[in-house]
Amino acid sequence: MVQPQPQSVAYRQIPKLEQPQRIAEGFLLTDLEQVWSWRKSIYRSLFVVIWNIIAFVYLVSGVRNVATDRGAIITIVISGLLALGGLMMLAKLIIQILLASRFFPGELVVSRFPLRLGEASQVRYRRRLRRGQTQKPAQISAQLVCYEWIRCQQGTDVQAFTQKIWEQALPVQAVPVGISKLEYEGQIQIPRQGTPSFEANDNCICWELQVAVDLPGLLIDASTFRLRVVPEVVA
Amino acid sequence: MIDIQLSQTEVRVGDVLSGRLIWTPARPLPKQATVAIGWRTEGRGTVNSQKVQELQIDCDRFATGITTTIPVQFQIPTSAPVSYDGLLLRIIWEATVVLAFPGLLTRNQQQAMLFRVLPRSS
Repeated sequence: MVQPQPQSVAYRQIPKLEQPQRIAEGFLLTDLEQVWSWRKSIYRSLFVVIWNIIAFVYLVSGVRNVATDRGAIITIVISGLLALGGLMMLAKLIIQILLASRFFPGELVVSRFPLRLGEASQVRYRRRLRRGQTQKPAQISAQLVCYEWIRCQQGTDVQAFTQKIWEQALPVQAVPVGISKLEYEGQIQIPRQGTPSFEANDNCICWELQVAVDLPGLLIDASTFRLRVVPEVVA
Repeated sequence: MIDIQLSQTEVRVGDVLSGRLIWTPARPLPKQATVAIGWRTEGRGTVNSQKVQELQIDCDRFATGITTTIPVQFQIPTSAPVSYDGLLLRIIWEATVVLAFPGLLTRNQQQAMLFRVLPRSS
């Protein structure tokens, strides 16, 4: 039997489990990564701009000197890689800004919170457009996943890994044209033999509902909602 | 050597774990004795641990050469993590008794007993 390999992940901090807001329909969770923050955006933009300036200054200077200095090739390779990374960060930042300007953050309403082992819950995802309506049909898919997350020190580097241990794919739903709010409804089921949520500094067991929206020409994005599963099995 | 015995090897969150300490002390008697339950992680990640409950034992209950049995009880919190054996991490529960002796050159005695914590039924 082939043992699944853990996936190395870029994030060093596990997203904190937020306490949901109690509303009439149930419990409201918001994808905090999609909440617009001027301060966070300015910091990110400054970081990306400074990164790119430094990378491109070294790249240009390497290209200028390559005719006279063979050692400049190393500078070109290293600064080229840094510049490529910088451009990718810039592209991601632009996409994030565009998404934030067109959509409100994704929200999820769950009928029960926290959840117990063996328990089913209705989930309702919604994401409103800031202006206008959808012009093309869209698709929304969702999956409930449970994964292990660990962080460890390897030499001087801190690394994080995840390992998916359970998943439930929910049916894909089509979104019609001419609407100003994307909506998705489904039912999740926590397995009886599953494991409850666990959160320590460097070791976690996380339950997440991941909702992916594919709106051609406008949005391909995913909202993630952390759920809490308590160590209690429904009768 | 002090011995720790648990009346059950599996306990559900919210339930009481009971056990007993058995010891026939030799000289010198400990200056401090504690028994605690807690969990720790094992596996690929940095180890995390938490002492969930600790009890102080009255050292005057021990007498040199006489076997003493002390019953202990712990309540497992309802929000406590359950025992887990996964791919990247494990969660292990243990009850530990530590005897601290007077004097710089005397080593402390420690004994641990593993047990499993399971989810409760509603």
